[in-house]
Amino acid sequence: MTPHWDQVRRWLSALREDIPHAPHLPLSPQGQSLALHNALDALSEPALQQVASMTGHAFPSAGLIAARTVSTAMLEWCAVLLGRGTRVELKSATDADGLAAWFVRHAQTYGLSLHHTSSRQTALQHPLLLVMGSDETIETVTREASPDTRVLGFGHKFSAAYWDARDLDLSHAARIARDLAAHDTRGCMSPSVVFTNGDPTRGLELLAEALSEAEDMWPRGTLFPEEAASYRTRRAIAAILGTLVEGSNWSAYHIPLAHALPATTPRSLQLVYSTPQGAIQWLQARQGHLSTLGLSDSAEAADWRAAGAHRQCALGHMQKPPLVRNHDGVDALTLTLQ
Amino acid sequence: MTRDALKSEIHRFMVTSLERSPHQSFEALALKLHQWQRDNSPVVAALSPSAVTRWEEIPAIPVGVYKTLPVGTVGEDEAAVIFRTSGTTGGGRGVHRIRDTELYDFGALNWAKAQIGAFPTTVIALLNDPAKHPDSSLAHMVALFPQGVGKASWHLHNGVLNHASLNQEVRGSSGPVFLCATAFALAEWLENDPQQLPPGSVLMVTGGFKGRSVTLSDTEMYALAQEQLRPSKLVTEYGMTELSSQLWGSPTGAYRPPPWLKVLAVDPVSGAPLPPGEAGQLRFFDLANLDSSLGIETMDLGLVHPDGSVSLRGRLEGAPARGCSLTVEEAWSRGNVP
Repeated sequence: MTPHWDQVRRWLSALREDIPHAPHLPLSPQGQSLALHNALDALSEPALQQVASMTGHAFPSAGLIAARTVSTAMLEWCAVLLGRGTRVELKSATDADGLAAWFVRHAQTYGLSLHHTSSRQTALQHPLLLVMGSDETIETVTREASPDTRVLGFGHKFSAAYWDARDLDLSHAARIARDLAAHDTRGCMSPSVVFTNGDPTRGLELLAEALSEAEDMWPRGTLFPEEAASYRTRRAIAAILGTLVEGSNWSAYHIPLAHALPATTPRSLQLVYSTPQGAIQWLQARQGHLSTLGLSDSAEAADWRAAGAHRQCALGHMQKPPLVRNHDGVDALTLTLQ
Repeated sequence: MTRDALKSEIHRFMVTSLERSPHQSFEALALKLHQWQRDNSPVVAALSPSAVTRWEEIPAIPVGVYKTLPVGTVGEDEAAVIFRTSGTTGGGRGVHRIRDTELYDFGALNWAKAQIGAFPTTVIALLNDPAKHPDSSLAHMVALFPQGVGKASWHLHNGVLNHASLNQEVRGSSGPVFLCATAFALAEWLENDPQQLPPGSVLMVTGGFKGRSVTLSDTEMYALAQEQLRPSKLVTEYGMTELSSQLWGSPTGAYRPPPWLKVLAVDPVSGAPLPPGEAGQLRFFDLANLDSSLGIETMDLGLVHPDGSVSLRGRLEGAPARGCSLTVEEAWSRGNVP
């Protein structure tokens, strides 16, 4: 395959310039802009060069079945595969069809072989298949694909954060708020639980200010009905068990560790008081689905390896994974080469 | 007001409203009950920050809260009748604690008679025996139907339908029977050469397919039931563990609630009440829920007709369930319930 890295660079530049016109639902325009900037920032020149220098042969074509919740996640794989010269057939979730079409339109302007399909069957026809979504979706697609197809699945995951007592300040709260705002908390790298060994009341005060500012900068988009209903359930539990602060389109609540869930509702954050040991034990019990752990500045990364997160990073960077990384423990960049 | 006094009032309302001459309005009694629950249940109190003046304003506790917290006025160290949800729709089992089943039993039997008419007292149930599964409210209700003069037989054992005993029981019945089944169990029986019911029999079907995959649609199942079983009457029942009352309908008709239960459809996102005829998330206000919470918010979608009857439209749309992050219900189902 003939690499197309120069065309990819021009394509990415064009996308960045055209962000104001990117389809955005269910996110707000500002929310989509945040998501796209995060995604494009990861596709830096050094990162692209690092991928371009990997040895191996590109697949002639690939299908990419994207998840509904993080529509920009398809971008990094499109860039990598197209850069290597692979023809890519992109099957987006219905709600993200507009964004996928936007990617494709710009890509084809630069002669890149990126195509959009609404048919999963069409996407299944390729020797390489990347699937993002629920565990059930990945199982189904794997069953349907040909035995010769290399299937890489990116399934159900959750992420968490640790906010050290020494870092209870507005700067850290703002970083947590940014991580929460991206993708309206729907992504697998969104912090579903924030542990702190500091004063949770103070933590909630800081979060209230930060989440309010985040809402001003990146307003929450559209809620799906079940999300709103789930939010009311969690809100009720929080109101009964703990302390809740909320504003227009955001909330944060302090609840006991025993009632924390590794699940998100849009712009809603669970703050749990815990010692680091308690938090690590809780995370270890859910290690199979733990993706990213965000750490505040005073936390020692080495102390948290036992939690079993595939990626550790600073708060504020949970939703900005680097292009070159293992994807939840899997060297997917290498596996997407023959 | 004491619990006994309130219970007497509710019972009197049930009696007089069945006679089409209620001794007071639903709203007046609902407000009294709500105030009493607010005074005696920490959970209801926490979710009822301000006084209400209309029954629609009474807080409806999300059913998910029942999976996590003890809802109601019966302490965990007090003697109680305990009903539990099946857990098949995702999540831990919800728990409904009540002091006694007097209101439940009176309402269940008398509303069933009011809706079905006279029904056979020989009951054949495709359900677990309540003597062995006392926490099933559905089995408890069906056990009332022999009305002290007939008998009931149970043909589901730990979730496995006993086709042989079921067919033998039907075959051996000399008169009409009242066959009670969940949709799932009925569908299985219909696909395995069921015994036709004796003339004059009544068939009751309840529930959907509760997260299990089946090969029959509702319409197909009812048609098959009519063809293979030949009931003189086919009725549908809607109930839930968290409620003390049931709604009755037919395959082609809406569900009718008893006079002591009102249903409200709300906008799933805002929670605002919707006008009759507009589909939304369903909330139930059940006066028979003396010991728990009068208002319940379900995850069901439906519309309320001007006459108060209800048509169901399935479950709330769960968009995030097809993405890479876990929803709240999925997190519960993966064992994160404390």
